[in-house]
Amino acid sequence: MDSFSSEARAQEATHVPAAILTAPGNIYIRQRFTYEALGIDPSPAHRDIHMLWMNTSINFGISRGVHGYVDIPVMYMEEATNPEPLLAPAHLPTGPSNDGPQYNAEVGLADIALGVKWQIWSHNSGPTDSMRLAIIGGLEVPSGHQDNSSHSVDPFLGVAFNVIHGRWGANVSMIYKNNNGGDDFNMRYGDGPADALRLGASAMYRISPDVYEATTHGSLYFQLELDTLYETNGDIETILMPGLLYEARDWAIEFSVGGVIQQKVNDRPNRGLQVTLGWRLLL
Amino acid sequence: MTTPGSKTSHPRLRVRHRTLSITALVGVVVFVSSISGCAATSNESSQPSAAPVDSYPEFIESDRAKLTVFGLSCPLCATNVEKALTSIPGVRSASIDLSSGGVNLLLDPARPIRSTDIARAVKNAGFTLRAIELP
Repeated sequence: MDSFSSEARAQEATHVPAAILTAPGNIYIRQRFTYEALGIDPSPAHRDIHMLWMNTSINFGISRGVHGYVDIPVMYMEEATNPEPLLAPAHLPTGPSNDGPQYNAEVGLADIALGVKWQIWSHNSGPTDSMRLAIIGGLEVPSGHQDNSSHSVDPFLGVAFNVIHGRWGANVSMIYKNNNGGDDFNMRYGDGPADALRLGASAMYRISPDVYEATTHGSLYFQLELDTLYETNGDIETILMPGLLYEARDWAIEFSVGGVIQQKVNDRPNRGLQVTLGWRLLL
Repeated sequence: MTTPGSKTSHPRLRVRHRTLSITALVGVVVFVSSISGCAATSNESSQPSAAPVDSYPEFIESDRAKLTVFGLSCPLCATNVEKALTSIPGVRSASIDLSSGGVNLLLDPARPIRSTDIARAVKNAGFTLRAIELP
């Protein structure tokens, strides 16, 4: 899971990070449930993979302008393998190809992300208008799970910029992760031995209310995200993700659908459909 | 395929560079347009200028006060500043009007609060205190 850059808060879209922090003394909890269908698998196992992620993010304000978070991803995976008998990796089930596909399901904890966000600049120009710039950094640490853990501590560092003007909001971010391990035939972006760069951009538009009022207790937003994921082995993909976000005074719910609009990957399965449901709670 | 002496022009490199360039360009456009747009907004003469905190009474002894706060972009933002203000001893409640950035405070007159504590709470929550109005 690309949890090293997966946390988000108010006025922040589902996937692309924004320079928004939790105030000191507050705790912000978030859970996202993501279904992913992967496509063509380049490994000798020729896996057909479907995954369901539950990513729990605990965010807490440390001091003014500094915020910490812990991302805990749990993955449920179903795979059907139809490997070439002489080429299949030892840890995957094998058999003569004329036996047909073999099925496997597993659940476990993936790498945990420990991060800090430091808001280095902000400018509030109106009752609802603001700009913010933050540095994001941290570590992905192995969970220890046999198959879901990367077995390496991987640092990441990046920057995020957020602007809100009237009914519009926009975020851009760039996160680089240095991978110190990983399987050659990994399943997802950022899980392999190659370093990973993520460029994200998102736009949010407040559908309702037209104008904030004294009695406003919730807002509905349309969100559109563009995520480019590049790895130093040459794999690259760009995903477009429209969705909706409803935000109340101390909770929010979100929905997002993602589809690949450009993809050139040779060292992991192609990405297919991605659907995310989530909720957020400010304590 | 390349020939010796020619520039590298591998199709895959072109796709990769173009995709990264498009996304990076979107980011740069957002950044530059937002900087210029918000700079223009902040220069509008209709916006009140912020009075320095030391121009307010050191202690607020009334039972209510009205703040003007900038940067309250969303309902969750309002809750963040509400929690910060109600954590100040002497502040009974804070109600937020997102349309104007107005924050109505109900105070305990028996426990005067410092205007600097209000300013610090708003600032620590990530917002900007523009004015304090007293009855």
